[in-house]
Amino acid sequence: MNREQEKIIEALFLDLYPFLVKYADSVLNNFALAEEAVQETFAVACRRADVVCESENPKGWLVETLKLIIRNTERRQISANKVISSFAEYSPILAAAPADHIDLTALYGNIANTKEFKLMYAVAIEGHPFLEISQKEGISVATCRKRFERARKYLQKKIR
Amino acid sequence: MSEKKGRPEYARYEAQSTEELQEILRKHAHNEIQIEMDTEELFYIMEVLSERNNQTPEQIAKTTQDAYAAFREHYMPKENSTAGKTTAKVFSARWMKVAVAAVVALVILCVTTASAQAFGVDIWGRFASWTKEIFQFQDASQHDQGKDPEKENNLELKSLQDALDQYNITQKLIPTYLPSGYTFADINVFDSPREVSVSAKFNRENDELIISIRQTIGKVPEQIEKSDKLLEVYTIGGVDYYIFSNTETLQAAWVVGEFECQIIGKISVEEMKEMINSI
Repeated sequence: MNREQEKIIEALFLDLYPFLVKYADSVLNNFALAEEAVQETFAVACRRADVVCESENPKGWLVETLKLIIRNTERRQISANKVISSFAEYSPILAAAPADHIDLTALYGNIANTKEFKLMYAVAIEGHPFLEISQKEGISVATCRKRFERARKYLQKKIR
Repeated sequence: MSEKKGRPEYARYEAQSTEELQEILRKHAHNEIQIEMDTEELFYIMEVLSERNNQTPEQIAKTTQDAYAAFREHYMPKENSTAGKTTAKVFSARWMKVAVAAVVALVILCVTTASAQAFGVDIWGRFASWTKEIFQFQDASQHDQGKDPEKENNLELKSLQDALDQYNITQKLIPTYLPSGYTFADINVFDSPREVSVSAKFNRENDELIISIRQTIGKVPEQIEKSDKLLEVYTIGGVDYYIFSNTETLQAAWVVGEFECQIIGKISVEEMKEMINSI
C-alpha cells in the first residue's frame, strides 16, 4: 500500500466508520464486536488497497467485505459456543443463575480452570472482542487470535 | 458524509422504527433481501440509525478519530519498515542459536567421523551421495523451466488468494507454484453460517486440477477417502500432507488449524510436492 492509497483508505475510514458500525451492530447485536468487524474490514482494505482504491464503488466494496467479516464473526461465535456448551453439565439451578454469579467450575467441570477455556468463554459467551482481551493480556490482536484458534483446537480434542 | 441530502426517495426510512431498520440491515447482511439495494440506500439507513444515537457531530468525529488511531495501532497491516526492525531482532537471536548449533554439530561430526573412519566406514562418501540425490531432485533444468511460468502462475493463483483475503484469512494455504500448462478456469465460493469453502479449478487440455480450502469451524475435519491409495505422508513445516492416488488422479490433503485443504488433479508426485513446497 502506497501513501496515496493509505490516504484514500484513511478518508474512507473517517467518512464511513460510524455508519458501518451501525450496519455491523444491527447484525451482531454487540457493539464491541461490530467495531472490531469494521476494523477488520479496513485491514482487508489495506491488504487489497489496489482493488479498493481503483473500485468504482469503494463504499459498496467495503459493505460487501464487512458482510463476509460479519458472517465469519457469527460462525466463530456459534462454533465457540458449541464447544463451550459441550462441556456444560446440565443444571437448571446453575443455568438460571445471573451471568455474573455463575460458578464456572460447577457448571463446566475442571476444564473451566484452563486458560484455553477462559479465553473461549470470554469470546463466545461474554462476547468480548479480541482487542479487549489482547489489551488485558498485554499481547497483540494477532497473537490473541492465534491463541483463540489453539484454544479451540485444544478444547475440541478434549471433547473427543 | 451525508447520503441524506438530496435523496427524498429514501425519506420513507425516517418513519420506520430503529428495530425495523436494523432488521433490513440484518437481512441484507444475510442475503435475505430479494431486491437489489443501492449502496446509497444502505448508507442512508445507516445514517438514519446513526442520527438516532443523539450524539453531536463533534462526539462522532472524536469516536471515529479514536477508532482510527486504534486501527493504526492494532489492525492495520504493518509496513515493511516496522517488520524489518522486528526481523533484525529475531535474526540476531536466531543467528546466535544457529552459530551455537553449528559449533556443536561440527564437534560431533569431527568425533563421529574419526570413529567411523577407524572402523573402515567411508562416512564422507555416503554424505556426498545423499546430497547428490537431493540436488538431482531440483536440478538446474527443472529450476529454469519453473521460473517464468511460476510468475505467470502466481497471477492465476491470485484470484484464489483474493477470495481468501476477502474473508480475512491470512494463513498461508495456497501454493504459489502451478504445474506447467495449467491455466485458471473458475473459482467457487460456498458461504454458509457453518462453513466457508473456496475452490479454484485449473485446466490443461483435458486435465483438471482443483485446489480447495474449507474452513471447518467447530467441526472435526472430514476423513480422507480410504478408497484412494496412500502413497506417502509428506511432512514439511510441521504439516503432514497425505498424498493419495487412484487410477486417474493424485490427491494431497492436509489440515492447518481450522482449514482443511486439498489439491486434486492429473499431476505427477513431483509436481504435487513442488506445489506443496511452494505454500
